[in-house]
Amino acid sequence: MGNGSGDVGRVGCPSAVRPADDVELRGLRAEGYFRGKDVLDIGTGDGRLVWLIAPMARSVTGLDPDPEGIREAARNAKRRRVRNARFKVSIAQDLGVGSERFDTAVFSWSL
Amino acid sequence: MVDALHEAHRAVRPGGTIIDLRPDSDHQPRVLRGRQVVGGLREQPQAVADSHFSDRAVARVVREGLLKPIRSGHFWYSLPPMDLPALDDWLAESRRLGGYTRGTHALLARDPDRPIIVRRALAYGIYERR
Repeated sequence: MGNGSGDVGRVGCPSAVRPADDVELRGLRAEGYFRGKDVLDIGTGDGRLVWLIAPMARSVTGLDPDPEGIREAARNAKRRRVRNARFKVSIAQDLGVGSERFDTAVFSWSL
Repeated sequence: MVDALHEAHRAVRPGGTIIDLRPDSDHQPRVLRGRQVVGGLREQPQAVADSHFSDRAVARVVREGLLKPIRSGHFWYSLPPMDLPALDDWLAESRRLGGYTRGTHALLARDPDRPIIVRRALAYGIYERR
């Protein structure tokens, strides 16, 4: 569902009521924090932000406690041929990334 | 919340960045017809309380010296146009929004098929990992 499509629609899933294009990244004016970086997306859902960050980042790791969301994100990554993204079920209090370190972490509607 | 921030601090390299992006409880969602604001939506008291709890958690971790604020603010975005029944359904299912501000629904119901635009504010904070 694209913003500004002109459709009058019913809104069902949570992602549908969130910005569907790059409005969040534009609003943040934070491209410099993603370009060439290893990024954590905490509360990634179905990977909505990952698709926008991945083209400029070195890697993106999407984390979410919802297994179905993570499965959907992984399917989307395959379909979109995004090779520098991965997804994992985890909670914000225990990210499960071990000793791995990242340049940027985004709490996507998750704090 | 504080635990989550501590965990993010652990996972990010020193000098890295932590970004907090979420709906802005300080700016009520607006309901528009065309370009005209005709009303608003109320947030659930629990959602407002949770948001303030998150604000306090961030402030605490900043006080602990783990994060240094770089900049913060808010911006607006529009939901896809919808009709009144769709907006009613969405509000009925929303955990965050609790209904219309006084008079808004009555005004929208006069012309229920005309597209409605909801504009919401997102708050953000960008922090350097110390």
